[in-house]
Amino acid sequence: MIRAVPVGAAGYRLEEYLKWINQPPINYHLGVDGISLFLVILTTFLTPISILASWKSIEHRVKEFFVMLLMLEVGVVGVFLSLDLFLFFLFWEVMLIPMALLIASGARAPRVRCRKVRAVYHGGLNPHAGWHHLALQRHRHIRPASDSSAASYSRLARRP
Amino acid sequence: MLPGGHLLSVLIFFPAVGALALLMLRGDDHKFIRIIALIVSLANFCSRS
Repeated sequence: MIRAVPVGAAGYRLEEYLKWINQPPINYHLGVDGISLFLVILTTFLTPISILASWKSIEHRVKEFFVMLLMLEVGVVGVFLSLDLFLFFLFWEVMLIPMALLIASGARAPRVRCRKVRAVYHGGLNPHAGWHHLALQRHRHIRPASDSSAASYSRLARRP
Repeated sequence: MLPGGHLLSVLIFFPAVGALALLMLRGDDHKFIRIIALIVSLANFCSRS
C-alpha cells in the first residue's frame, strides 16, 4: 500500500468504485491518498498495541472485547478510506457502536456507564447534524416549480 | 472497477473476518482468543505497510 502511494503524488490511489444506489447517487467508492495512508497505518499500528496493552487487564467478556476492538478497526479504517459521503457515514456508525460498548464495558457503575455511552453518541451526532445541514442547503438552492412547493421547501429549510 | 482491484475492501473487512472467527470460538479459552485477535491485527498491519 505504501508503494502504491509515491511521495509527492497527488490524487487518490488504489481506487475502488462500484455503483450501489442510483437515486440518490450513492456509490461504494474507496481510495487512499497521502493523508489517509498515514492515518490508516497509524490505526492499524495502534490496534495490536491496544490488544497487547489489554492482554492481562481484560478478564471479563474477553471474546466480546476483542470482537469489538476488531470491529472498531473496521469502522475507523473505513472512515479514512471512504470517498463517498454515505459510505463515510455508514463506516462512522459502524465505528460508534463498538466504541460505545467498549467505553461502557470499562465503567463499573450503571449511571457512569449510561453517561459515557451518551457522551459517545452525542459526539456521533455531529455528523448527523452536518448531514441534515447539507440536505437543507441542497433544498434551499433548488428552485421549485410551483408556489405551494416553494412554501413547503421554505418550511423544510426553517425546520430545526 | 478502477485499477487496484479489491485491495482496499479486503484490507477494510479483514478484521471483520477475524471478529467473526473469534465469535465462533469458545468463550472460556481466553488465551487463544487473545492470540487470534493479535494475529489478525498484526496481519492487517503488515499487509498495509
